[in-house]
Amino acid sequence: MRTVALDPLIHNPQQLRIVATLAALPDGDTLSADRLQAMIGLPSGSPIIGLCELGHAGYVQVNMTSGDKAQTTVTLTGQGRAALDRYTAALAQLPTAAQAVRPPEDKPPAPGLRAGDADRAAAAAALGEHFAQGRLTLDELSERLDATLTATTHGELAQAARDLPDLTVFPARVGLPPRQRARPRHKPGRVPGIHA
Amino acid sequence: MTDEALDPLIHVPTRLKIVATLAALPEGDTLSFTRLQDMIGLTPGNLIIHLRKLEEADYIASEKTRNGTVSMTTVALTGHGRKALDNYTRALRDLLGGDLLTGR
Repeated sequence: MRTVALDPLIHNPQQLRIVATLAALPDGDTLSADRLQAMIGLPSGSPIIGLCELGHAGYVQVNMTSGDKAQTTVTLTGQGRAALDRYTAALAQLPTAAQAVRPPEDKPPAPGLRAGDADRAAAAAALGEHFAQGRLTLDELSERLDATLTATTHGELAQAARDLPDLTVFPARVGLPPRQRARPRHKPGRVPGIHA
Repeated sequence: MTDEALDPLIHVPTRLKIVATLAALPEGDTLSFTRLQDMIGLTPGNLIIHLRKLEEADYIASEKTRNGTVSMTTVALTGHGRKALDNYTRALRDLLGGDLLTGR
């Protein structure tokens, strides 16, 4: 996906139109500039913008014949045809609605699916990170670690992480204020000093 | 050749990638911002700009949910955006001559 690079010389709408029009001709055929102009929907006499760029890149060859009837002809080079092939191949690599595949990371495994050592280790590491970020107290961490390391299914793993956010969505942040619950708690009814 | 214009909003390669990626999800599904960023390989600032352009045109919808101290943004293609992409691919296919985009 990340490797898809669309040749900017061809991706430019005007140039794409020129290259596609020329590519529709049999190999080696040339088109007069006037015909090309008409085919890509430009009014006669207007400059064919983009032709110069394509010529410089060696994608098209522009020939001018002089004489009483000067004529300009345009043809797609082998290089231009190859570049268009690469371009369409790159386009075909873009995901399409037809291959509606949701990335697996976004879909949790079925709760009944058996968990492996790697799943348990990953879940335990995630709990450690949540503890480090202040979402769990030490007691809660050890209780959930026990549950995680003895879990046999993905459902049990999910249960141990039930109220914790996704770490890929909420990566570690620095400077979070310490959580209230991390402070030592006083038991209700026992105010220091009164019963002494 | 019909002169059906290529939607400039979709034609920009980065936005084409964003729209195509979102269109690959089943209808109604959303993608988290981080995941989309990871899949497309953009910096957050860059991605936000492109998403904003698409959202202004109502091609995508984003939703921000807050959960205590953490917030999460999810992005999805709208019906309008899906239609725009369909029009775009049709225009491109017309331009490139039918079979070029289907196989391979």
